Amino acid sequence: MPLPFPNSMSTARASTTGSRVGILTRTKNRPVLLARALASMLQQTHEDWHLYLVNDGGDMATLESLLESYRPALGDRLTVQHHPQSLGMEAASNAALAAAVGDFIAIHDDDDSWKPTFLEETVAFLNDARNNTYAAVATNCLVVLERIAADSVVTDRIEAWAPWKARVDLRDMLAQNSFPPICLLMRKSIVDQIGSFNVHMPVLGDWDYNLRILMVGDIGTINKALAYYHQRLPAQDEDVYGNSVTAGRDLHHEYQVRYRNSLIRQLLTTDSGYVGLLHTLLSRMNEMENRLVENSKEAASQKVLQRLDTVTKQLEDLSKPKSQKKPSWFTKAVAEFRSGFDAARNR
Amino acid sequence: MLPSTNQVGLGRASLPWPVDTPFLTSALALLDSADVLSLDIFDTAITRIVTSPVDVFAEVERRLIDRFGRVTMGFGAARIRAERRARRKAYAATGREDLTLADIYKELGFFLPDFADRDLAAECELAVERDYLRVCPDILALAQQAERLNKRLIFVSDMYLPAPFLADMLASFPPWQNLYVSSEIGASKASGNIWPHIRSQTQGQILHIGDNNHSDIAMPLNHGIKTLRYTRAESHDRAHHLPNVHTLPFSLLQRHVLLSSHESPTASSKHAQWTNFGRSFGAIVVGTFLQWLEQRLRVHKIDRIYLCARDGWLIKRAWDAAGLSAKTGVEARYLAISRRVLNLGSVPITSTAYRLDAGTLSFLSSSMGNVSVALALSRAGLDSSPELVQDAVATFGSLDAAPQWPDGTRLLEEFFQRNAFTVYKQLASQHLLVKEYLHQENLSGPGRVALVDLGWHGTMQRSVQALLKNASSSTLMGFYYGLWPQASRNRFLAGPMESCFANEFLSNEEQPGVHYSVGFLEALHAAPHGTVVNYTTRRGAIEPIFAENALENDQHRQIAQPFQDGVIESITQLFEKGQTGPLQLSDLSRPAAIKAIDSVFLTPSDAEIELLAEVRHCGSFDHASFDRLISVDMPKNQHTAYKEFISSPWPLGLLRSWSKTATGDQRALIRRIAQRHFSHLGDTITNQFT
Repeated sequence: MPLPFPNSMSTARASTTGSRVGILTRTKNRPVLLARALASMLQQTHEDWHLYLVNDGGDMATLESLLESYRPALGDRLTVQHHPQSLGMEAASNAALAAAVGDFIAIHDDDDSWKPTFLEETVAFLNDARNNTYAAVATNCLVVLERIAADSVVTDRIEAWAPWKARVDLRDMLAQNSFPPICLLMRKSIVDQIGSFNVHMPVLGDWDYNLRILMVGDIGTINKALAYYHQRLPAQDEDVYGNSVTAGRDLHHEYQVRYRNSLIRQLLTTDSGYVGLLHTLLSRMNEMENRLVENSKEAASQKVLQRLDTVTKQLEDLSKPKSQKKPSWFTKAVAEFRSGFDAARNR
Repeated sequence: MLPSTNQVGLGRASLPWPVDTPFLTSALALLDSADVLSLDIFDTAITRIVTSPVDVFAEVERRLIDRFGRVTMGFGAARIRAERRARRKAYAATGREDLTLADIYKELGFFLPDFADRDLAAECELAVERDYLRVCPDILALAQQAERLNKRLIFVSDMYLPAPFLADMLASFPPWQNLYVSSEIGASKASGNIWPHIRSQTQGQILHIGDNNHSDIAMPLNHGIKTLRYTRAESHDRAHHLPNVHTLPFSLLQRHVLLSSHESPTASSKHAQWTNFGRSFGAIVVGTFLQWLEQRLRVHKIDRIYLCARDGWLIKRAWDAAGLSAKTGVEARYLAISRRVLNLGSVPITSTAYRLDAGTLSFLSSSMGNVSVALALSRAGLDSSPELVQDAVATFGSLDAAPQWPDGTRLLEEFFQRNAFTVYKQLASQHLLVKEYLHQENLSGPGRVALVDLGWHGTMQRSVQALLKNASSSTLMGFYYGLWPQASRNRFLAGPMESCFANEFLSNEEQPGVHYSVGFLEALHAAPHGTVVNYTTRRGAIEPIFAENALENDQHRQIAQPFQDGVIESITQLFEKGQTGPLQLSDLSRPAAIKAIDSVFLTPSDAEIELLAEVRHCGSFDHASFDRLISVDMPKNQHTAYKEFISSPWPLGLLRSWSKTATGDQRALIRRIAQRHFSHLGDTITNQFT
């Protein structure tokens, strides 16, 4: 019987000499942001990459006009596919993926960006023989909150990526996605094994894909903010520039629930005994949660009572006659407070 | 007979070293009454061909990487840290004042754990020292003369290198009586404890010559020994600088330029110092940019480039000196534009007569805290409008009021917005002239054209695009020294932009050297004319009108001109002969140029701080004020000092400049400020203030 540990990458192959990165980018009528994305790629210190750009139903002339000025710099590193009608984000990814060749795959959304050494450092990580049990690598990132005004991108603020953890834990990933796609570099051999992006998911396709990567092997991490995850709150007349998280929170929530239901349904279908197991685990967890809530309430009550004790004592000290007599209203107020406090304690 | 010159091999180049006759004369006069000539070894009898002695480790790192690969990357920094740790341990354990090379290499594993072959690294260090050490002809001539006068010769050094190695390096000197090395005696020149030991073994009067004011002058004087300072070969040490393989080009060239200078460093005029700074630092930065530009122009199939006033002046001179128009087939022109004429000229496009856009309001109201209402109006050519002046007086109380950020700036913006119609009408005339000028210079003609400038936000390129919109058959892009993150804002409207030294996808804090250098680079690249304030038509052609500014003219004559002449001299040699001094054209690289910028602006030598403290700059487009980029005297009041620090374009240089004359309390404040504001830059920076 095979040992349960380790098994990361036991069914896959990890080369340590790869260089070519296939970059998948999906866009639709967002030239203001795409111009920045192209600059982000062109300024990478690791230059062995090829961009597979899918225009998912956006205006072809506008895109080509933008690309014209970048084509000399892109050289033969660009493949463009125009979809006359939008097929959706994941279908666009699959179209790019079908064309992609190379040793690694990265998804560079048209609104995100990288620091110049993103590819250099992630490729070096996966090429390090010590990391050959990793299927992919994720870097830390910064969240850029921005808005579009008169065809300019205005940065409002930049924040750290709060959910960052030094290890990509499948347990965490099962609860929610741990990092945005701009942070990830995957081995192409793993992508070939996993297959296409899930076209049934208009949002959260990257979460599904990350879970599928983790089914094959672990994801390593580089704790440097080498990527920027850009977010915009959509203006009323400019929601073409909203990003899928901020512009579609309801959709995210809906698909999160439906996706989870699908996973559990799949599990329960394999063996109905899992119903009993999950029931047992979940009721135990509920019980623990309730107990924790009660304990924290009790602890809070104790603190309030201690504080009341202190305040009462201070009031009593003040009411004691010293050099001059306290006014009667004061003595009466302290007595009333003390009586009320004792009643509260007894309750 | 004293030799007048001596050819000294310097790395890959020979170095003419004119012998310092006045020094020899004064040394011989002092030697007359002495029996023994005592010579310091490093930077007196012999010297290294790199700027900072620790730059030798950069060459060791280069050789080790060639042999062992990436595992030895970072050797230079590790070697310095190992020595620091070994010194601390030796002093704590035995109170010894100096240590040996073996002591240092014992600690290397702590900082370079994946590299085990430390003996070989130590051997490599000795080999590099051997290659990088040269005899100083002035001192050799003195020693030979001393021998003829029957004076005895001794050498004294605070050194970890073994005595046999040093003896080998001194082989060309006349026979000596003794060689005293601190690591073997256990006492140093720095503490003065070595002198009783030497005196006990040396009969007669001693004359000691060395470069260090403390170890070679003050300490021996305390022990009754006559001294003479020799500064010709003094190293301009970069405090706490950590070398790597990219350190070498600038370090070798700067040292070469300094040593081959016809005047001794201490006696050299400011003019000569600026020329030398141009020959070394300027040549690396401008040469690298030209090489990068040439490659990018080829990739982008550019037909014409426009080097933008005023900072493009030096780049245009260097482009011509390098013969790049003939080599690339790209036509290069100097374009007389300015932020003022472009940004104000594009107002009729970006704004309406009823509403000025946010960019225009921000530009009109921009201030470094010292722009009066009168200046805000006059610099935009709006002071001739009675209704504007009347409203300004009513709003601010006086035209002399200087609105401060944020409330004052907001009030100024509201004032301009309220008077949008008048502002728009006044600026419309400027719009036509600047547009005609751009067409006249063929920016709108067919082909791929590029703006070339120092950078930094892409606003000029955005304005040119706006002015040419719908009236141009060219494709426009820009090539810059650097772009800051704010350039992302303009990326779509400006068109493609590329940068050589600073990148918009890194924060300013992640590229601090280039960030601190901006004001200095602008001042040193500037043209010998004022900013473009407008255009006029003369003989059917549009010509620029330049502002006249006596202070700027003076600075150009005294600082920019000699710097630029130095740059052009080196660039001409590099691009014509493929080499200037020890630097070959193939040695130029972006990492090496960035390391040169970092060396000067993150770990400056005292001499560089003193030189750069002379530079004045104006940050706002009016060019009305012209202030020093760093001050020399620290304000007495803490609040004033802190305020000056916060607003300084080169805060690190400012603190270093203040440190030189600071008193005890001021030093403590400088340390606190440095700890608070530079900790993210690492101990290389903060240790400069401990």
